Amino acid sequence: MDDRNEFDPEADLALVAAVARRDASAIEQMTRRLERVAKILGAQNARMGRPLDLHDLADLTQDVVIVVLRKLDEYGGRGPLDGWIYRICCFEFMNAVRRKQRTPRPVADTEPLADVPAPESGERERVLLAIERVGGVEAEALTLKHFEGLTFEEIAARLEVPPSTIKTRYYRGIHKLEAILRPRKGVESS
Amino acid sequence: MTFDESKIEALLEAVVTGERSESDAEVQAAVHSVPGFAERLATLRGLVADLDAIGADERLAVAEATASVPIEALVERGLDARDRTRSRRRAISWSAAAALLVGVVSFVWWPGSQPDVYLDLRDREMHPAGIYSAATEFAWRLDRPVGGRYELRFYREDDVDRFEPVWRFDAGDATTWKPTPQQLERLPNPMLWEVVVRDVDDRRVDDIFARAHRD
Repeated sequence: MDDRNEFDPEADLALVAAVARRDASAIEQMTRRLERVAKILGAQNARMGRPLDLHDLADLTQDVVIVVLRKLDEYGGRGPLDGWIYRICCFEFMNAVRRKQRTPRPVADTEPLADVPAPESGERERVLLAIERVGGVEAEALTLKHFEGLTFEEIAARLEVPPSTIKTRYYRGIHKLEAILRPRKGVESS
Repeated sequence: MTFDESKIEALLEAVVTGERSESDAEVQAAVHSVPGFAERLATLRGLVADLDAIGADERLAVAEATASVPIEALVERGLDARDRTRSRRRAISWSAAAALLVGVVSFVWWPGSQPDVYLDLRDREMHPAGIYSAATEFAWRLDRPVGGRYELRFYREDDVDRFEPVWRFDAGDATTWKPTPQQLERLPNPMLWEVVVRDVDDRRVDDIFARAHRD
C-alpha cells in the first residue's frame, strides 16, 4: 500500500491566495472546507467528555470560521491546509472549554433537551468516558475515525504522519478501550 | 502454522483496520488454531461497530445543532474583517516605514549590531516554523495594543488532549527571543509554539502559532 500522504502545498497556497483575491470559486472551495469545522469541534467535544453543549458548539463553530479567515495570511504551506485548520479548531476548542470552566454556571430552568442523554444512551456515555480515559494520540485517532468519519488516509494527511502510524495508534486505542470497557481473558499463543 | 503474541496482535490490527478481511487464510488459521482468538476478534469488531454507531449519532446531533450556522455568510464576514484589518495595518505600516528607515540607517552606521529576523517577517508571521537550530532566533510580528504584552507558550506537539503548555513566559514587548542552551532544553520537540497578545487588562486579544522541530 502507498504509505505517502496526499498533500499538495502549492494547491493549498494557491487556494488561500485566490480566496484573498475574492475569487468566487476559491471562496466556494474554502466554504466547503470550513463546513468541516463543526464536525471537527463535535469530535473534539466527544473526545473530551462533552464539556460544551450543542449551543456552545454552534457558537464556537461561528467563531472558529471567522478566526480561520482572519488568520488566513498566516498559512504558510508548510503543512496541509486541513491540518492547519484542525489545529486552530483544537486551540480554539480548548480555549472555549477553559473560558467555560472559568464562567460560573447560571441556574437554568430551561436546560437544552438535546444534550440530556436519553435513558438508553448509558452505553454511549460509558464509551465516551472511556475514550476520554484513553487520551493522547490514540484517542485522537479513534475520534477522527469514528466521530469525524475520516478514513485512515485522511487522518494521516491531516496529521502529517504515515497511514501505517495512524492505524497503529488506532489499534492501540481500540486495545486500551477494550481494556477499560471489557476486561477480558488473554488470548493464548499457539 | 504457529502464532506468537506479536503475530496475533498484528493479525488483529490488520483485521480491525481493514487491511485484511476475516476470510484471509492466515486469519482463518488463527481463528481455528489460537484459543480465544475468535472471541477476541469478535469483541474488537463489536467495539468498532459500537464506535461507528455512537460516532454516527454524535455527528448527526452536531450537524443538527450547527445546521443553522450560516457558513457562506460567515465566510463573507470573515473576509471583510480580514480586509479591514489589512487596510488598517497598511496605514500603520506607512507610518512605521519611516521609523524602520531610521532603524536601517542606524544598523548601517553601527555594524556591531545584529540583523533582526523581525525585519524579514510579514504581518502576522512568526519564525521558526518548521526546522530550527540552536542558533535560531525566535521572532514574531503581530500587533500589540498600547500597554499590552506578548506571552510565549510551548506545547508538546502530541498534546492533543489539553493543549497545556509545557512552558510559557512573558516576553513583555519584545518581538524576538534567543533561547539559551538551558532554555532550548526546555522546549518540547517537536512542538507547537504560540505567541499570545495580551492587553493591559491581561485579556487575550490575539494569537498566532506554528509547528517547529529541532534539526
